[in-house]
Amino acid sequence: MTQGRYPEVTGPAPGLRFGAGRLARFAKGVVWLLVVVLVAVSITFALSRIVPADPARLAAGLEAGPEQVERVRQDMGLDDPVMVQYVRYITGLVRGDFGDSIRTRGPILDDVVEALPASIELIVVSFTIFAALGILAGAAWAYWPRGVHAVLLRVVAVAGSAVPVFWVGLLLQIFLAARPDWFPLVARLDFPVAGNLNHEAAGIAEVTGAGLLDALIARSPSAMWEAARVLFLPVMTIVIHNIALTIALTRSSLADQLDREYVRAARARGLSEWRVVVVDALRNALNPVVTMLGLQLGWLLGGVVIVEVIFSWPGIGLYAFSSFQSFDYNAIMAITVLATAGFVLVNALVGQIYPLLDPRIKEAR
Amino acid sequence: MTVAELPAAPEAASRTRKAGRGVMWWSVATVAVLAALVLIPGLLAPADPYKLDIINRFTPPNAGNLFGTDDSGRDILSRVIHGARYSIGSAVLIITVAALVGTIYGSLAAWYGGILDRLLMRTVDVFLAFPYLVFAMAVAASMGRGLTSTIVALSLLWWPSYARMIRGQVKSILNDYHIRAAITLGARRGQILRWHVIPHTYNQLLVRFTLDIGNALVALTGLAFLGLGATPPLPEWGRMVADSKQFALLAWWYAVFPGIVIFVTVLNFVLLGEALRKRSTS
Repeated sequence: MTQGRYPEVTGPAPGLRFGAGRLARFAKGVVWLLVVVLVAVSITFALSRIVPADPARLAAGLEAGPEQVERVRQDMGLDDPVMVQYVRYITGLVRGDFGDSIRTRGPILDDVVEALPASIELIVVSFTIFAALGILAGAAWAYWPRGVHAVLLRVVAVAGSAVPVFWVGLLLQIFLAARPDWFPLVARLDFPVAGNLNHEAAGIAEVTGAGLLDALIARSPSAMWEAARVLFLPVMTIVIHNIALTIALTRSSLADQLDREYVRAARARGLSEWRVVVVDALRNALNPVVTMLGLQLGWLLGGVVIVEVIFSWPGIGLYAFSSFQSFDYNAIMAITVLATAGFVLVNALVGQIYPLLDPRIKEAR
Repeated sequence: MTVAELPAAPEAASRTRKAGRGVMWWSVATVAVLAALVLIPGLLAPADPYKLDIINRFTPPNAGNLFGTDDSGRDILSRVIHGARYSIGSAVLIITVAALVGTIYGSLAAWYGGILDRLLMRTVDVFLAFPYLVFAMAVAASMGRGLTSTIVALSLLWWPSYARMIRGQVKSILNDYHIRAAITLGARRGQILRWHVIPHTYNQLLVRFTLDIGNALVALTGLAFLGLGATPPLPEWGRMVADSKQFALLAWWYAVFPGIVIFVTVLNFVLLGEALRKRSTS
């Protein structure tokens, strides 16, 4: 959960080992993923049965008469016993069928696949920026603990995390996006157009759906510039909020390492400062930071909703929000399931990075 | 969302301690003010938070309306003051429920150990593996919109982190000599847990509780911003920022002031929590 102040790695406890091999570990991870997703599916399914709005009524439309609604209800299988519907839903999921959206009337999976690139672009760019900048700033702070920059970083570290993300987005819009020459299209409050790069206007083909990548494929510098400008405000909103924790944790972790005996010993042996601080101490210090970054990456899967809504960014978050607005429970269920799976997967992947930083973990396994 | 750890620069210890005490008193004073807002908003607010005054809509901040007025001509300062009850009150409620449920759950898991412990903690792991925002949307969508369903959704998602923390603490306390002494003296299980174990978790619980009120406030107002929370005309803070969105270019004060209040409140709970943590560890 997002509110843990200490990194909490979810997943099988280390004490529970079924086998030593890589395969066993992999199998265990898969089973864990399935269990979590199954629970998520079951809970959302149970919740969907107490939705106040009648899905058949919504799907049939406002003008439909009672018998039309009844027909839609039968078509959707809403007359069957709950257990039958549950089993049908699960078997559908196994086949990759998430059902149809009540709002867009198409298969939800198609909608999701279409919205995914925009979200991934936003998440990857923001994550890269705040992780890199945060580690850099935190390390600099730990190494030079005094001075103006330390005061500044302290303010950023404390204030950045306390500031509500939707408010940052709104302020950026009010005070920056009001200048159309800086940030065209995107973030114009009076301009209800999807925030992502307009491929046609930029004169490039839509290959992946992610603006930056498409511009790169088309080798069009002007389109890349445009895509970067469009990305700027949403990315900045995410970075301002998330960089705080990275800075604070890197600083405290590296400061702790720099106090250790081995650092003094390495310096006494005459090793270069670069070697001592960056290669040795920072590498050791990054372990908790990586845990935290992995969790943050997972949270971003859900956290982008707010940012996407503020900036009309046509990704998964906006899709989830629109589905929620129109009581499209099928879509909400599908997104909950996918987001949960993504969250667990990201955490599992983070687990694979530890041995790179700390070889002892590999040996222990 | 998450709130950063306040790192202590390695300065002279006495200076840090003095500064820490200053921060602590400052945040205690602010929390007292916030508590007053929650308890007696009617006495503090200069105007009726619900009174419409369409002629004076979008009045910029002035002597009569310090924070200006909103799209219906309501005094934003008065709305912010009355909103404290809904925003802070809900955050406190969420964390109280989560802490209570988590404490009972976690201490039971730690006490019984073995297969039950594993089962209970696995359930916690499953809950912690849910992306909270999406999940809260699912809960709110099924329960209907409103402050209540948001409170339920967030409490439902928050208790597992307490269960995990308390379980770890209780496990380590159970190894202490005074527990063995109590067992030897024939104290009953419930007695031991209630009187000899749980009180030792209060310190950390208080720290976590304080910090989490800030975190819950961020989550709550964020959900309200998405339309999953208080319904109009309730002056809940996140809702106010959400309502201000469409007028943002017209009336900057509408978005700015409620946001500042959220920010300052969260910041204070974070600072207070960190000050409490430092005090309990030193």
